[in-house]
This record gives sequence, C-alpha cells and structure tokens, in this order.
Amino acid sequence: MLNCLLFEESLPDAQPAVVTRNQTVNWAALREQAQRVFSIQDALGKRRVGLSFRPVAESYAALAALDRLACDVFLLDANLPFEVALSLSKRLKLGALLTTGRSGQSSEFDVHELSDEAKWSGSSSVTILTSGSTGEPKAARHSWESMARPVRKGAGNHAPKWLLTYRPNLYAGLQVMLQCFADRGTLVVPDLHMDPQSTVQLMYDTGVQFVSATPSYWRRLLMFSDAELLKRVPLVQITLGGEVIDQSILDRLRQYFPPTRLVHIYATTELGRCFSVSDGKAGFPASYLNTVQPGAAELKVYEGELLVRSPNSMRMYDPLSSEQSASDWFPTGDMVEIKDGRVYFVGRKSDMINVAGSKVFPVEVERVIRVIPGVLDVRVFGKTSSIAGELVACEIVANPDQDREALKEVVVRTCRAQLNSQQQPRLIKLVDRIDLSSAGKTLRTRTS
Amino acid sequence: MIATDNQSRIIEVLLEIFKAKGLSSPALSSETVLDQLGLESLDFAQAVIRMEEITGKDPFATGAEYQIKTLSDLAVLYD
Repeated sequence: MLNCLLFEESLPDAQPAVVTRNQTVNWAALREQAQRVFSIQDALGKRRVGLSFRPVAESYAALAALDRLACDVFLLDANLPFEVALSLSKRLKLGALLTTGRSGQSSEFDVHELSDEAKWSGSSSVTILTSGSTGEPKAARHSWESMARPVRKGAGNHAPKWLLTYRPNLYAGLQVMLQCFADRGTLVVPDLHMDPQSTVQLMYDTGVQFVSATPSYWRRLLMFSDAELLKRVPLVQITLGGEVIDQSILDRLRQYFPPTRLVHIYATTELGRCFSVSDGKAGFPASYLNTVQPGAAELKVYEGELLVRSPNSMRMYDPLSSEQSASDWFPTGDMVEIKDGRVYFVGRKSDMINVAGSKVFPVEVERVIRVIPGVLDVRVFGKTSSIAGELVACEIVANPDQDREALKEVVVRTCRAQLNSQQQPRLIKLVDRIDLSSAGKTLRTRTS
Repeated sequence: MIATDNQSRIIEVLLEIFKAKGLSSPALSSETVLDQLGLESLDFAQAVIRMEEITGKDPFATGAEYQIKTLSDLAVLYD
C-alpha cells in the first residue's frame, strides 16, 4: 500500500510532502529517499525487520521501501533507548533492526543484524507495538490492505494539509499518514512536546486543513493558545478519537470553527477503524448496534461493554508476543450506556474505580469538574484505600488568577450536589499540569 | 487533658471532612465516640488516607482489626 503511494511516477514532485518546523521535504525527495533505501537494503527482503520510527520523511521513505521489499515490518518508538529497542527486537525474533543515525538527522540507516530470526509471514505486513497499560507491549499485525481500507481516496480533497498529532508508529498516526499521502497531501508534523502556542503558530503558518486528534489534545490547544490565531487556521475537518468524546468539546469546537466538519471516529489498534459519527453529537446512534452491513464493523453490547467484529481488524497478535490471536467478537474494554436511542461511552473498563463495591468511571466525574469556572484541566483516578478498596482522587489545573483554596471549595460543593457519595472525589490536588500519554490521552494511572 | 499530636491531627482531618460535607463541625476531643459522629465509612476511609499523607503510616494496611471506639483509640494507632 504505502509503496504504491511513494514509488509512483506521477507524484506532485515540487509539492511539500512532510513539513516540520525546520524542514520541508517535497514529494520528489521523498520518493528518491524511498528508492535509495529500497536499493541499498535489498538484503532485508522477505524478512522480519524492526524499524525505529520517527515522524520524518526518512522514516516514511524507509517504511515504503520495506513494504516494497515485502518485509514484516515492526514499528518501534524512536524514543526507546537503543538497548531497549534491541532487546525487544530479540524477543520478537526479528532478523534486523533499522535505526537512524545517532545525530537523528542522517538519512542513512544503521542495520543491526540479529540471530534467531522467526519465519517470515509470507507477505508484506506492518506490526504495531502498543504500549498497553502495563508491561510487555502487544504486537498487533496488520496487512497493508486492512490498514489502508479506511482510507477514502480523493473525496474532493486536493493536496490536503494534515496535522499529525498522534505518535507516528501507532495506528492513528499511520492512518493519518496514509490518508494524507493517498490524497498527495502535506503532512505537517509538530515537534514532540511542542507547546500549544507554537503548535497553533505552525498550523497557521502551514495552513493546516485537517486535524485528527484526541479531545485532550484539543482541550490543551483551546486552553493555552491564542484563540484569535487558532480561529484563523483554515480547518476543513476535525476528526476526534481515542478517548470518550463529550458534548462539551464538540460544542466548543463548533463555536471556534463554525463551518468546519466535525467527525468523531471509533478505532482501536486491534480492530482498526470501526465507525464514525458526524452529526456533532456525543455517542453514536443505537441503530448502529446489531446490524450487519457489508464491509462495516458489527457492534453489540454485552454486560455494558462494547463488542466489535471488524473487517479492518488486525490479522493476529504476532505469534511470538504473549497474546493469543484475536477471537471473532473482540471485547473493546469500552463501557457504554444507552439512553434515548443513543449509545454513550462512559469510560474504559480498566479505568473503572471500585469504591467499596460501587463502580465509578473517571469520565463521569471529570465531566462535572471540567465545566466549573476556573478549572482548566482535570484528571480523575483511583487511589488505593485500606478501608474502601479505592477512593476517587483528582488532580486539577487551575486558572492562574484563580484563588486555589476557593476553587477547591467550589469543586467539593459542586461534586456534592451532582454526584453520589461514592463518585465524589475524596482527595483533591491542584497541580501545574496534567501529562498526556504517548497516544495523546489523559493518563489515569492508579496511585497507591 | 492536652491532646497528643496525633489526636490533634485526627481532629484537624475530621474537621476538614465535616467542612467538605457542608456540615457544621461538632466539638471534637480525645473522648469523642467516632461512630456517633454521623460519618459514613467512605469519610473514615478518606480520613485514613489523609492521615497516611500526614504521618506516612497506614495502620489498616495490614488488614489487622482494631477495637476502636473513641478518637484517642484511633490516634494511638499512629503513635
């Protein structure tokens, strides 16, 4: 798939393909790099190859070349220390690991040959290593065909400019790249950990039209950047995904960008893209459940959890990683409730807090706190209690000109009025910032 | 009788909890009988976590059972 996109003759050669703050690589240069890797690395053909992956033209070119060489490619986060990447590659029984030169600027790759390589799968594939919430990464293998199936080519978008907000080596980041490249567009890549104001400046300077991001990512941009500049970014479409999408973020984006198309999408690394909603409302129509349509994912709810059977799903967990292959119906771990013909997400099963036997979802509590004036950001999580199992704890980022003690009291009072005793946060801490995971999601790690 | 350090700490933590619940605070002393305060078990769980933050100790973490009637019975567990 990717090799078809990059090796073609009829590319818009002079147009930018990948743009970062300091560098612009046009389509001709991208193709040339891919061709160079293809010819230099032909010994890697039909093998299991790890690729240390950064959101730069060199990495995309190498990925296309390895696709053309029919490799089983395993994408490793380039932020992993070399020793960790190497030992992971050995555990996955890869034949070689490709890393970029130490300076990070060189377009030449270092090839580290490894012994004890497992068998090639028989066709070109790409394996995504998800961090999982803890421990050993899961290796989800996709065929390029299943990866590319959600891509809608052409749809009237001439050379669209996409902002890459996701990690380039994970499912969402690969989808954005494939969609952008399929339309011969320009991928605009902010630096890792770029501050919101600089990101918005980059969006404005490059004329970004399409953004796919988590609600947490958007909340950060809305909070910490110049609203007038942000409103001048010529956005055509905003795609939300990766987290529970609540009505308040949809409404705020609608208010900022009245003519922009707002879509939210449901996809996971294992299942690929399942469905999308574009009516500007949270949740999705209950009519999506229990229906079979050709080429579409089937959905059902079992004991409050969304189960999916998807044609875009991965082929398998790599047999050498710890997980078994995916069964027919896949439990998503996302809990839902159905109200008035609409299915709403209430949170991850694993984020559920067990307070003296009652289930509390962080999102339900965050929703109440987030709308309190003076609250910029909030994170709710479980705190281990020797008496109650867990208690609800929260961290809040306050507006800088806000009296912190007074805000705490308002939070307590509001939660008491709107939440039951189990849901009320018992521990409230004011913090300077709340970190997002590498997938751009609010972290809900428990503390003990 | 002068309250011990841990008695004072527990009184402070309980007053905080009463305030957060929007209740007027009763007079608290070492002789106060805890289950007559009208607090729920989650309030008690909250007090134990707050005391752990202050003292670094959680006497309930071992799963041991204690005979606790008064505020001073609770306070000695932190001594």
